[in-house]
Amino acid sequence: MKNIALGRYIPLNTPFHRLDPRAKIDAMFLMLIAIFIPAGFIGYGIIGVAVVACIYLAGLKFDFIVKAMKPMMFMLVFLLVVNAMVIKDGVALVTLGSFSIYSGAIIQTLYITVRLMLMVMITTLLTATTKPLDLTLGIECLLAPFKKIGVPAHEIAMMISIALRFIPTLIEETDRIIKAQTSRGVDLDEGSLKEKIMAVLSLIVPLFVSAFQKAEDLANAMESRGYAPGATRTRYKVLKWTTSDTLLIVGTIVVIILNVGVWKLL
Amino acid sequence: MSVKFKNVGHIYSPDSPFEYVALHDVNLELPLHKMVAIVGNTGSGKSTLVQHLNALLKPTSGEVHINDRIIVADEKPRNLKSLRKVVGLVFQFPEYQLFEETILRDIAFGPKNFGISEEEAEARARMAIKQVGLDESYLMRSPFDLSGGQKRRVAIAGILAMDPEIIVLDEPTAGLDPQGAKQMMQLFADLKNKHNKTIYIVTHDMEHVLNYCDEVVVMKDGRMIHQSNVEDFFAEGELLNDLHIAPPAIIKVKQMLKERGFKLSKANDFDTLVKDIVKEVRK
Repeated sequence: MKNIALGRYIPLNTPFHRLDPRAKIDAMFLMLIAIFIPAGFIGYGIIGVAVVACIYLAGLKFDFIVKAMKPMMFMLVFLLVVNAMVIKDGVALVTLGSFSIYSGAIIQTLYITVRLMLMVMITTLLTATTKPLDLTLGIECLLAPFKKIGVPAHEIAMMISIALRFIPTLIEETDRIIKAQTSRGVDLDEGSLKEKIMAVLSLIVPLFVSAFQKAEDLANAMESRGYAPGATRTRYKVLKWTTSDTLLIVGTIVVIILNVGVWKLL
Repeated sequence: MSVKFKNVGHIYSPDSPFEYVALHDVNLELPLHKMVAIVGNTGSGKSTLVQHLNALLKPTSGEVHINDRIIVADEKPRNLKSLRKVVGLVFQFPEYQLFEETILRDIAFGPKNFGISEEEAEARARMAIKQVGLDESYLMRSPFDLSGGQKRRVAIAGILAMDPEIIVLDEPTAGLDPQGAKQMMQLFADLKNKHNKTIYIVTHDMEHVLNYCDEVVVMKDGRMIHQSNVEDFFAEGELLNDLHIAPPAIIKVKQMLKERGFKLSKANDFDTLVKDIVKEVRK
């Protein structure tokens, strides 16, 4: 459980880590937009090169990124099965009786796979190089203009930061409960369906109990330190926009332009 | 039959930025049918060490021998259930493991997992709840209605009902009131004395070490740095200083008296001490 890579901050000191969180969030959105430009595999190639360059700059190991992608494996297999049954374009590759798998299905699945992989890489890049608190600060700053139309920017940011803050805690807690129940003879890998349901139940109930307990404790701690959601506050940490942040944004815009170019011209 | 650690090392999250060496080359033999205290500061590797005893953690190097089972690094152990039936591990704050609708079912959960029949498991639950000092009327209540200390007892009863030969406890009295803590320690002493169980206990409480334990193992920075019987442990002034352990009051008093030339017998209880002092003063 401790090896979950998705959404985890990797404490390093690289140029990419030092970027302004606002720049990184903006760049992430721009990149996600770029992914949805239908520029085919060439477009994804361009995005891929840009993303891999950023991953290199951020000092992240390749197997960390692979680990972050693991949770979507199941989804991709499911996707392949559905595509194989539905899409009938291209050449029949494998024929089993009256059922055949077409090349179109494979290409379509591959296309979506690449798209999802890029998305996970981009979001991992953001969360792995930005401290959760900086991330929230960035979100809050970016949402600030919408305060005028009643968007509770601070509250949203606070909720996100609490959620992010508690991911590792809950993982740790799950790990602990798994160990405690394993000591009581729970076997998560083997056993009948009834035993498995019981095993999962023996994890979920304590996890919920402790999550609610933690939420209550946190609420009390915040209240006793005078936290008021709407209050005007000054900040200890002030975000600073530098040239490299501008460069990042310019870089992503270039990627978008290239993709639009590929889409319109080819 | 024995519990042995041979050159055991444990590294958390190896080959990642979070890599952390929790145990370095630990060599250790723990006696059976004794109560052994495992002491050391926070982060010294005590919890990691005890989690090797029922193979919740596997050594990343070296071997752990538990009775006739050998857990070796790089080898997937099979049939760990049989090991976990022999070694019952009670985690720190075990109240978090409660989940059933009634206390009876929660206590019977462990034994049932190890293939004990429903009736036998419930009979054991009845016995275990009495052992931890609660009466049978609690059995039909929800474990979530109890106070913190009672939940702790129920959770410990859940392990006792499995009837393990070796009971490993990670700070079982943390957060309990002194009276409750004392009862708990007395229970473990009884399990050892009357039921011939083996008890390994991680603790910070030196009074408990002195009053209930037979042996002490000291961990520091992932290494086992000292193992001896309780008396010799408290005689190691330098070691205690180094670990920032304040010895129990009676040990301190005896030391001060000895420095002033009193002749005292070895036993560490106040009755003997007072008798010795009276004898010395009357001379």
